[in-house]
This record gives sequence, structure tokens and C-alpha cells, in this order.
Amino acid sequence: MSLPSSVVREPVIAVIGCGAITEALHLPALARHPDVISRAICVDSNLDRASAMAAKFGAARAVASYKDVIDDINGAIVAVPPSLHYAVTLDLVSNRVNVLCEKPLTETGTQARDLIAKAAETDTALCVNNYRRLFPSSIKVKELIESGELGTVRSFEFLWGEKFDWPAASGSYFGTAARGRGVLSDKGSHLLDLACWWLGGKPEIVSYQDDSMGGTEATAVLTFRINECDGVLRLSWLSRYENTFEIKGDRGTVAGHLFDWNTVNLATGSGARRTVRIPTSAKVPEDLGSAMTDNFLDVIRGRAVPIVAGSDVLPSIELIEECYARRERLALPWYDSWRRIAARS
Amino acid sequence: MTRILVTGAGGFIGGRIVEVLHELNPGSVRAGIKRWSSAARIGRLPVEIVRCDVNSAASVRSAMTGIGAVVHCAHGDAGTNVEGTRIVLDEAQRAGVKRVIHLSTVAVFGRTEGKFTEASPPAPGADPYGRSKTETEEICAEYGRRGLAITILRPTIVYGPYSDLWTVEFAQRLSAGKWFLPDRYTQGICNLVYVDDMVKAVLLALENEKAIGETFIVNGGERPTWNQYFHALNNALGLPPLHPASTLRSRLRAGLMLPVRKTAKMILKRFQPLVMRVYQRSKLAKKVMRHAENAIKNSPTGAEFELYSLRVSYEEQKAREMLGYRPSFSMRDGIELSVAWLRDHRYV
Repeated sequence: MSLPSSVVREPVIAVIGCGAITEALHLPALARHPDVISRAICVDSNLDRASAMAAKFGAARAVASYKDVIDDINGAIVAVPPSLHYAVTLDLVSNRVNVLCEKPLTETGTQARDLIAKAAETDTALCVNNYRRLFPSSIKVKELIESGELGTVRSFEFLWGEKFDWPAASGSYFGTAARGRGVLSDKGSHLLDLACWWLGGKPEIVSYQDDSMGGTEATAVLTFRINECDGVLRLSWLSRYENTFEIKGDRGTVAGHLFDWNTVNLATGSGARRTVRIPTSAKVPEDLGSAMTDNFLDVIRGRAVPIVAGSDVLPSIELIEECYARRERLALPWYDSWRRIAARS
Repeated sequence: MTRILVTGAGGFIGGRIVEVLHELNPGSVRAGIKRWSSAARIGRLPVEIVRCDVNSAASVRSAMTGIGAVVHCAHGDAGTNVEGTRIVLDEAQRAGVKRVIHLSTVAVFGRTEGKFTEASPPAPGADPYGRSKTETEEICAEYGRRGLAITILRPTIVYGPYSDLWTVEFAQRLSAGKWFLPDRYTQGICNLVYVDDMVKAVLLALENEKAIGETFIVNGGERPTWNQYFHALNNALGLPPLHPASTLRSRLRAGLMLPVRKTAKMILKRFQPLVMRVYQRSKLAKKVMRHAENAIKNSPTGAEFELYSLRVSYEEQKAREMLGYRPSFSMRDGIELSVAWLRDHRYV
């Protein structure tokens, strides 16, 4: 990929959306670069919140709308609710502002393709914060699959469940505010991106079920098929799962914990399972999130290409869109038991 | 259509009340939560969710706009229970709310053996939770005298899906294969009521004018012993039969775990951020902490011995007579639904 011509200046960044992810990840990452944070602008429709974040991390100023500063910046981190990603990012790249967008990039494949085309047209970088691709364990899995060490991949399983405890500053995660897109859009945008990346394309959906009853699903179960591989993905915001992945090929199996960013368990040949530790300087996953921000700054400076570009995540965006289009409700007998008390007697 | 505000809608009982009210009458319910992080369950429904921190009059006032009835489920520490209830009732009166259902507890009777009815006086020696709920009932009486139409419900042991205390923890203890108590400590009465029956009582109280100014005990229709509950849950989980436990060993384990429990609590209270950092960075520390957590969870406390041996019955006769309340779920029904949920959520 060639570097966009617009990316030759020192970064002047607007951080758009000052919710929990911005406070936990983006602003601390920018604060590692004193010259960058001192020029940065915090943007939030809640100006008090934006001002508080600017003061906390040493940003230059705070404003309520990115439109007020769009001519003053050459980069933006888009961390508004996902339903706004498309409109905000389109506006930014149309004005030749490079973007690092939170995942999921958009709600539909059409929107993603629009952004990719507009970024190409304006010679602007479009990066996406699917930072799990940076995990050494994720890179190792891709190597194992591509090298053929596992043989033909036959099965694939992802389990990720945790009680939702993100310190969300608003209700944008839930219900109608989130346009009925819950855990699949949230956690699934990470894992399905990895699945598409590892397996080399977009799988076909076999079935998709969730527990939405008109709001945002908190449990989602997807079964899929790609080439000769059957896959299952199970996600929850309501309970703690094992949080693991397992990929079985006809010559070996690789498995791991979703939060062990530098370790995988590998069984090949004789079948003995061994732990493979991949050297890394990262101490916690957030360090890898910072690496994504660092990459974005280098992209703006003209020193790097995006680690995850908009076109990279297109398959997973389309897959999620297809899931929602054919969603069926999970069987929930403990929920439907309300009918037994409807008559009161 | 009367709009109903449910406080504490992110919790176990409040969440189920929201679900049922929504199913019976879509658009009728407003779910009040303290933190957005508790909204994942009710977010599955197209219901209105608002911030409603019962410690803040402004927050409650905003949540109460356009509301005709309130089901007050929010609870917390003693201060939140008492002052939060006062704020909710004050704002309900200010907003012209027509009906309030206040969820109290049979813990107001303390841990005393016998048969209790609504005519039985609350015990001055109840635990801090029970005492705080007694205070909330006194505040209800005060606002009732000022004209607010309040009904108090005193549920017993409410169990079912999303009950950490009476369902998830027991199932996990049983599944771990290390938790059982001697018969002599578990022949007390387990006053179980399935969560849907609790919701049914709320609906009946909301609909019945005769409920205004009244207090009702809400219990299930059976009176199993605690061991009968443990055995039934164990069987439904498909686990090997429970074997009799040694009295001495059980007591010893409870005694030995006491200092561990206290130390862990103190460390977490004082050094939580540091503990979490160590937990994240060290696999060995993670393993040790999980082991300690499981050991604590799977060991009964002295207070549990006391509870499980208590021969006490809370009579729901008044609710039957005045509200027409009849439990719809036997213990077997409730456990069956709970286990289906536990399995689906991978707790067991």
C-alpha cells in the first residue's frame, strides 16, 4: 500500500467522543506523546465531559462539535457510538482528515465500502481499532494456519462471555439507541474480524440466533462454514464463559485464552500439547491498543501504513450485517415463563 | 395507559419485573437503573431505560416524569435503602404518582424461629439489612399517612434465573463437588419463592385497590428444608448424589476459612487496584487468587449454619385471601427453569 499524500505533517488529533474507551485507552495512548497530546482536541457533545478529559490528559482544548475544528486537524480518533461511526467518519475523510475509527467501523458493508472509496478518493488514511490483530497470539495463529502446520482447518470455536461491566458513560450500548446491535456488534466485531483474517475470507452463515426481543442482544450464537471448516461463535454480556478459542486442523490443534495475548497451546504431530509463549514487550492488552494509536500517528507522519485498514475489516462487517438480517431468537424457556403468570390465577 | 417506573431495574427482581410488564403491556414500563453497566439484560427489550440513582433526588425526579406507578426495587447499603426510599416516595408524591409498590423483605423479622404473619412485629434484633428495611417500611407508613397509595411486599427467599445469591452460588458450590452440610444443620425451612411468583404478587398488588396501605408476605407454596432444596438442585444438575457430611469437618472448615475470608476482604478493600494489576499480569497470582476465591465460595460461613437450621415459616395467607395470590411454580418447576438458565449461561 502506498502512503496517502495527505499524511506528511505532525499529527494534530481530535479525539471525537469522550466516553469510557477514550478515557481508558485513546487519551492515555496519546498522552505517551507529549507533543501530540499538547496539540490534541477533545470533542464531545457533553462539553463538560470533553473539558474534563482535556484537563485530565493535558490536551490543548475541548469543543462540543468536531465540525468546529475540522479545518484545524489532520487526524481524528472516532470513538462515538457505533451508529454514528459512518456519518462522522465520512465527513472527516471527505475533508481529508485521517481517521482511526473504533470498531466496528460501520453497521453495513455498503457503508464500509463508501468510506473505503471516499478515503481512496481523498487520499486519506482509514484505520480501524481492531487491535486484537496485534496480539502476538493472534499473529501466531495466522502463521500456523497459513504455514499449513495445522493441516486443513476442520473446526473453529470462539467463546467469549463476561457480565457487561464496561463503565459506559451513556446508554448508547443498549436498546434503540444502539439500533438493536448488542454483543455481536461489540465483541463479535473483534472475533469475527480475527476469524475472517485467520481463515482467509468471509464464512457462510449456517445459523445465527440471539436473545434480542426488540432491543440489543446480550447472547449470540453463530455457526458458520468456510471451505472445509465448521465454526461456532458464542458471545455473552450476561455471564462469564471460558473465553477461549480452539482451531482444529487434520494435523494439529491450536487453542488459547482470549486474554492470553502472548501464549497459545499447540498440539501437532504426536498430539502432545505444548504451550508456546511468544516474546512481546506488552504487559497488558492495553499496551497493544496503544500500539494501534502509535501506528496511526506514524501513518499521519508518513512513516507507516495502517496495521488494520478499512478494507481489512470489510468481510467481518458484512458477516455481522448478514447475521442481523437473518437473526432468530434463542430458546429462552425461563423468559417465556411469564405467560404462566399472565392470567394471575 | 399507566406508565410504571421500576427502580433497581438492572437487578435480579427488578429486571424480571421489567420483562414481565413489558410482555404484558408493551410501552408501559420505564426501567430505572443506577449504572449503564447493569442494563445489558433489560436492553434486550425495546423498553425505555433511564438513569435513576435513588440517592439523588434530581435523578429520581427526572425518572418519575409522566409516571403513574412505581415499583421500588432498588436497594444497596443501609443508607441507600433508607434515604433512597425516602427520596423515591418524596418524588412520587411530588409527581402525583397513583400507586407505589415497595419491596421489603422477611428479614425484618430477624432470624427467629416460628410462624410469621403480617401481624408479627419486626424484630429489633434483625441484621443491618433487615433493620434498614424495617426503617423503609416506617417511611412508607409515614408517606401513606400523607396520602400516597403504597403497598409493601415482603418476599422470602427469591430464587431463579439471575439470582446470584440463591441460585448461581448454590449451583456452583454443588458443581464443585465440595459443598454440603450435615443434615442436622440443614433441617431448617427454606422459604423459597420463584422469581416469577414474586412478580405475580407485584402485578396483583398493582391491580388491586384493596392492597393500598397493606403489607403482604410473598412466599412460595411449599416449605422444603434447605437440604431438600440442595438435593433437588443437585439432582436437576445431574450431579452424583450428595453424601452425608461430617459435622466436625464442616464446622472446622467454616472456622478455618473465617480468617482467610476476613483477610481477603480487607486486602480487596484496601488494595483493589494493585490486586487487579497483579491479577492481570501474573498467571501464578491469577491461579492463587482463583483458588482462594473458590475455597471461600465453597465453604459455608457461621451465619449460613444459622440460616439453614432455622425452623421458620413466613405465611402468605393474607396475599392469598386479599389479592388472590396463588404461586404458579412448584420448587420442581422453578429449579427446572433455573437449571436450564444456568446451563445456557454456562454457570454449570
